[in-house]
Amino acid sequence: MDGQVRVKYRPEMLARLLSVLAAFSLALLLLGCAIRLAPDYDQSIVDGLEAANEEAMVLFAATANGAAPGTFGEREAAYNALIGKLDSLRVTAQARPDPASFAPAGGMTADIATLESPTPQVLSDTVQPIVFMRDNDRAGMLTAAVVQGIKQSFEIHIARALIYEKALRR
Amino acid sequence: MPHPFDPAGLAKDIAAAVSGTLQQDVTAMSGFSRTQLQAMSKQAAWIAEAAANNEITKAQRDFFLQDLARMALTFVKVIKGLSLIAVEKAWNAAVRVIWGAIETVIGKALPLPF
Repeated sequence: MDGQVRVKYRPEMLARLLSVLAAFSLALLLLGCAIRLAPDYDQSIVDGLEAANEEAMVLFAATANGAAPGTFGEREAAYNALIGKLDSLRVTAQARPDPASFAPAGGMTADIATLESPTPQVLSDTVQPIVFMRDNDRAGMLTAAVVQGIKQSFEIHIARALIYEKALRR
Repeated sequence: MPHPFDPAGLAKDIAAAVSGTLQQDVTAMSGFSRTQLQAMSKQAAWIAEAAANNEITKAQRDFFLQDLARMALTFVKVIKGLSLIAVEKAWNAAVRVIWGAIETVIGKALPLPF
């Protein structure tokens, strides 16, 4: 005996070793390959959107036949609350970090032109019909036809925000 | 002894995971697009009719037309946003399947890189 430890060669051991090495190599290759292309889901934004939608529907129901001149004061607080809520949601959505902020320079996500969430733009569009409605109401020009047009517009805008924000729950 | 890492089986599993998540998202996106385009068409028709019948003033008509133009632009942005979510889900579904296959070979759990 020369004191050396001899390991008997077995082909299946080599196959097993190569397979584990291949798996580790693949793991290293894939490390960091999972991607993030949209912001995190935020329940408070969805709750805020649903609350704003409900407030808007109440306002549309109250003015469905138009508003008599001189009665704007009855609804001024409701307009301000709704406009304030939508603007606040827009700011919250804007403050949420986009995935591009975390993308390494030259990385996969950085190559896509922009990963900005559409929600701030959608909410900016959503508030404009309500501001227009308030201004018409104040001027005594809120007819049933205008309310109908504003309601249709609002529904299109708010549905986009709700659909996108709910899709972020993944 | 069979090779523990089966690339053909893995490719099949990845395809199944990716097509499952994509199919679901594409169906939802297609329904959303249809509803939105119908609603925008209805709004355009309403503006034309209300203006023709003098139910709205010129200033009101102009506001609704600008609103419609904004709608069209933002619609594209929302579709792009939804598409990015779909791509992210499909890609990450593939990574999960690959991770699972690797874990099977090495016999221990690996933390997902996300």
